[in-house]
Amino acid sequence: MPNIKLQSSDGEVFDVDVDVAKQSITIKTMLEDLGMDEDDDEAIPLPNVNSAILGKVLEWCQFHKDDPPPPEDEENREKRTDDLCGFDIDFLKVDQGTLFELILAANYLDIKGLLDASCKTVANMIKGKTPEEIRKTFNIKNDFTPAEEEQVRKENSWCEEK
Amino acid sequence: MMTLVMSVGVTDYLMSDAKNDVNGNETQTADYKHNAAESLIDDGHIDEEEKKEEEAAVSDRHVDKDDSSGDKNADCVLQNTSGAVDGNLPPDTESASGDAPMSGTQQRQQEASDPEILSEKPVMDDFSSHDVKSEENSIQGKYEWHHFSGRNIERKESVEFHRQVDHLDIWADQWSHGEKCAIMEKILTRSNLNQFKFLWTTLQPTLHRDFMYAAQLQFPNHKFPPISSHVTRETKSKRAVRNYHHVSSAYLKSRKDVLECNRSLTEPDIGVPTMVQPTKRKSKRKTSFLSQSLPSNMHAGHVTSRSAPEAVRRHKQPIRRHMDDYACSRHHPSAGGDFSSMNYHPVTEDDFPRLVKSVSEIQLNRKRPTMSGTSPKQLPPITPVPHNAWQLLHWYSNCWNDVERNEFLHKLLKKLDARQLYYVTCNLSMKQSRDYLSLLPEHLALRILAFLTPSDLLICAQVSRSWNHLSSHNKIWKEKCQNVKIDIPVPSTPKSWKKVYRDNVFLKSNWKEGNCKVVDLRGHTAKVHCVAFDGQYRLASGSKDSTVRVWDVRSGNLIQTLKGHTKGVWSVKFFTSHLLVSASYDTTIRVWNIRNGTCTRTLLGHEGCVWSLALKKHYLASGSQDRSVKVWNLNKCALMHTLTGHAQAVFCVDVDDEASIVVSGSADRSIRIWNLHSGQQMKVLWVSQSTSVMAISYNRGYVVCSVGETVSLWRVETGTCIKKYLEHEKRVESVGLRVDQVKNPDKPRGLLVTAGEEGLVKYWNLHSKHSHQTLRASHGSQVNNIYFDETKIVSACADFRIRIWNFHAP
Repeated sequence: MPNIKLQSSDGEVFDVDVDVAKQSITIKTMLEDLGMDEDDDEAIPLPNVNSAILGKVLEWCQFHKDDPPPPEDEENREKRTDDLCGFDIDFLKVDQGTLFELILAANYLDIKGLLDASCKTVANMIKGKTPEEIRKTFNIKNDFTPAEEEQVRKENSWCEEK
Repeated sequence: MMTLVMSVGVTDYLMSDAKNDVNGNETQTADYKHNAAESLIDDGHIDEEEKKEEEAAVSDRHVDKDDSSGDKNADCVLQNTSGAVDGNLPPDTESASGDAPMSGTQQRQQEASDPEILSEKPVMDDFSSHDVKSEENSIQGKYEWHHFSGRNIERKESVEFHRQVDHLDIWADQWSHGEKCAIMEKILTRSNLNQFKFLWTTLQPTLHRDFMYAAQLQFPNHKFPPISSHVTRETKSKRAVRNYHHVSSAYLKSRKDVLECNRSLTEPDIGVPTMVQPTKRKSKRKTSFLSQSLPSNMHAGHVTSRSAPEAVRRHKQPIRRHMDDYACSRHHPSAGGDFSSMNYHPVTEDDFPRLVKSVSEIQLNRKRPTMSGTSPKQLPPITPVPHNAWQLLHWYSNCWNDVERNEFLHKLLKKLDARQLYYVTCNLSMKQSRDYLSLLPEHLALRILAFLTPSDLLICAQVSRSWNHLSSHNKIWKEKCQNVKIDIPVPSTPKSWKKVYRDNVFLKSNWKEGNCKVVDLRGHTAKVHCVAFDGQYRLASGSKDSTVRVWDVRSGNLIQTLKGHTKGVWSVKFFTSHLLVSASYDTTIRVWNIRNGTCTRTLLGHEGCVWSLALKKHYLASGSQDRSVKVWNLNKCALMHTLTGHAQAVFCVDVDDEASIVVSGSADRSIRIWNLHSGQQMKVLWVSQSTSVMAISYNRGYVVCSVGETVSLWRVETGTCIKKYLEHEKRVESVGLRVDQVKNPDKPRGLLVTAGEEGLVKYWNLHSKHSHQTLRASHGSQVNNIYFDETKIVSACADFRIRIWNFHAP
């Protein structure tokens, strides 16, 4: 199995299996566009991902390398957040800064599975909280004026019955 | 040399100890180390004593010393620092340099099993080699190993860990402020949740304003604005003091903010000379090696500060409630000149090509790419991480477990001064909680929000302005609208899908609660027999006064009065939005143009009065007193079929949505189902024993009919009666059926509307026994006909009125 080298923004080089790396559509297209030599020693630079995050991303890719490709018609499917697999749940038990960068990295590398999993994790962090609890969780400043806040509260107080 | 001898003496003593409680593995390790050391040194001149000493260095940590100020020499291993510079490094250090994702355990196991791999541990071996040299050359040794605080260490790993951590002591003092910041940042990216918890708990006091004031005193050139966190904001709002901190709090949302806050990252350490030394520790609780007494010559560097007059010190002393533990302890005498010559370089360019490459990369590309797209030019330059710190980082990320990492962090924190602590806290507060939605690019934020339910989205809207903006985004609500059945009329490009969704929710709850707006249309001069709706805003009604009137339901105004029939109008239907069909007691069916109010066609054919019309696509079915049902093609205004079979007058007809079958109900107590295109009778349902079928309504394979005061639901396919609705006390004149969902063919879900002689309109859930709501149309006079759709019910009353119940109040 051929390997390729990926270089993170801070210069670290990761030697990974092509199949693992190809879960990233960005890398896949890059390889297809550039054409890949077996003995190409040049590392692919990934200037938007630092080594810590790239390491995590590759760890994820390694675990999910045998996953079936995601279904295409996902746009119309009802969105669920409780279908994360056990590995993903543990994998994404990280501080918010890391999770944040994972989302950006998954977006940049175009890894749909990881992007979905990390977005779902954030969604789960939001779910079932009051506005104040959400502010607390994400350290958000309440920038409404009292009048605005009252108005927004009124505008959004129609609750849907389950 | 005397110390050296002493140390050897103690070593001998310790050896007996070590032999008792050091397990075999450890001794083995020491042997390996010894071997490795031997292989490293050219002359190979190693005698037994050195070996013992090497082992002692390992084992002296097992000895719990109650007198820490006792024999210091026993705690130290002699170290020739001048020799450290030559850097006797083994050639293959690359795998230890950080890239290899080999876990610490694996690595250790390998080491234990294969002595050759030991050479990958240049640092360890370096020490032993220097030990040798120091004794041989009799150069005055400098102490590098410090006393350990008497833990019971049993595992080889932890011994190794402590040796690794000890490097920190030497290296940390050489690092500049900027370097320390850079290192801390690297460490944070390599930390997991446990370390974050630890750091946050330890550093949270630095958020306190006391810390800010104290730090300000020490570093007047540096700003320490308080960090705005949830807690501080809450305090502020509770006290209702706007300027609680007297300075604006730093609200750190991104890395850029953090760097803004720490602009003096690369400035020289101006503040250090004014640093006030801590007085003697009040508690002995902190017993780490840093606070323990060290070899006497180590103290040389700070004798002056210790001997400073008491009064001055007290005067200069800042509030040290939180400084005590962290910031001040950094200025340990070990920062004195003694160690400046101890440049210890475990990593050199030749031996760590990959590491060095990465270091130089950073130096070259100082503008670190930030993915959030902030311009790096405005930020202070990033100091590169010093070479020796990479070794620590490697251990940190690959070799240590959570406990060890925390212990290391604990020690590292003590090496930091207020500015660095502040920097770390800033980073922590930023990393602890990110405002995902505001900071991520919009499409990613929307992706997150798409996973939320509508009620969660409403909560999100109340968080902050940007959250409100994002969670009200049309794209999200459009998607939510696509997932539910929208019953309200939706414009082609709605301004706000959120509003559409909300109104739809309101509509459903209005149907449930029976909340509606009632409008009466008056104008007819006789009983109103029938109503029809064009799907937009026009309502048509036929009356016994032989006119058809067209109303605007939005305003309630009369648009047209169509005159032409000679007798009462019993049924009216919209063909297009401008063409109207009406059936009259005068046996004719007329087609009207609403625009100019003229009758464009008159369909003649029935020999008795026409009671009922049904219209789908361009097929019109009419039921007549003459016992026949006629099917017309309205495009050609031609008769297609005359359906005969009923034995008596046909009171009601209906056509299915696809215009493939005609359903007719008759006074002969039967319902017949016909093929619209062939005109063949397909089925007969005998739905009544006694009286005629007054009204029918067909939808998706089910037909509802009223016989007297009974309403019953029939499944056409099997010809069976599924359910009866028995609440009306008088004859039911009109029924309407809408089947929404058929999971079980015998229990369809949907809406049923019925109205009758007693002037009541009821609507039902198809599956329930009792009506959902009852609406009163008039007192005493009957309701002749009803129309209903998703948003309203319209009734034609015998008291000349048309009443509209509108459940959708825009």
